[in-house]
Amino acid sequence: MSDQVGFNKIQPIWQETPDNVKGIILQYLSYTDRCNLRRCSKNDKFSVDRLPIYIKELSLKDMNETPYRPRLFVHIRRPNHYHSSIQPLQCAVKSFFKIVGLPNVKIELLVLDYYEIPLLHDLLHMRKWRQIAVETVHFKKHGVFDECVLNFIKHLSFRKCIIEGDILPNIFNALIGTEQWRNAQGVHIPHINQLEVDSFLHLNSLRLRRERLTADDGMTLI
Amino acid sequence: MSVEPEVPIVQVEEVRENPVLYKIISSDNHVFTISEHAVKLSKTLWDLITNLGLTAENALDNPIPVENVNGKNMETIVQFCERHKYDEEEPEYTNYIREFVLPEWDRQLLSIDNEELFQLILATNYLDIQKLMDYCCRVIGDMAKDKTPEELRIIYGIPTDAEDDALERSASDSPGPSG
Repeated sequence: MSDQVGFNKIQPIWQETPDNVKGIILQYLSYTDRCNLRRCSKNDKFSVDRLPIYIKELSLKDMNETPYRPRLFVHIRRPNHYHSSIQPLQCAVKSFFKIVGLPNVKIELLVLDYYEIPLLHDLLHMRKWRQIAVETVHFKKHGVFDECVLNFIKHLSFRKCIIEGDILPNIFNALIGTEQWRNAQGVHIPHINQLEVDSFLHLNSLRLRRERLTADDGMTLI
Repeated sequence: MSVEPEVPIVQVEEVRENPVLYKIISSDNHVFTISEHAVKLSKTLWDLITNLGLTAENALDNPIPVENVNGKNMETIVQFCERHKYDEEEPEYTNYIREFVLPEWDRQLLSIDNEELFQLILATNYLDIQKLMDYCCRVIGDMAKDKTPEELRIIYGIPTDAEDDALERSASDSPGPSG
């Protein structure tokens, strides 16, 4: 095959390849191969870093069987690449920041347990981090959406938000005042709640679970 | 047209449904005939044909010179375009590359020396043939699979930064064509 033929010769062919063509070739490389190419030269490092990385899911999930050792899961979209590892909390958070800090990274779904948020928030605050842009953020597992989560959310920019767990009324009132809430296009709160429907009227998509819906609330939503 | 077609004309499959054929002359004066459906796969050539106002009546009398593509690459390109001329048009993609299985016929066509493949890519880029570009890039991408940086340097012909700097220095030190 051609790769066997070409293996024995060195020609400056890659250097002469136009950037737009290199960009297409790079998209066909797996994440590992891109990392290997990145190590070849300064130009290739620049080319690879410039290429957007589309992450379908980035999650830090608390594992019941391994406390303080969350599972970091990354699913890169096209070419498909998965990475999953259970690490000590500090290491997992460090890896998390490496990923969200990559140039041109685009994250579709960010899944976080409430458990990791205080540490993430402290580090975001300490490092004066820019906003982390994601398509959808999902706060997972049983827990309470408290003030710490509220402060953390201010470091995010998202279009959709999935909030599991209870939200205290005063925290919800603060949440709906945030820029992030106003800019959100979709919200899903799977736990039973009686939050005011008026706060959701700006959204394009809404999924709420309620024990009862008054006629007035129904009319307002319609 | 000043170029004399001294070399044999490369014949392509006759198109019964659409008899319009165009002549293309490569940089090394090889002459190729290509059907209208096939030539439409190249945005550059089709724009040229449209701008020149070539019609079914005068197409064969007005060969199109393509100075940036040699005969070898043009032959591959004509074969590819004739093979894929009736393929369904693929939707434009934005964020992601297209997922596709490289057909065996195309894999065979592109089983050429690395340097030739890169030259073919340059020709394809110039002629703006999206499908062939995707296929060539996919073949080149496949070469990198599970290779170390050192192996990638050999396959793609990537000099180290030190070699690159040395090449640049020698290029700037050497006298130009007039000096």
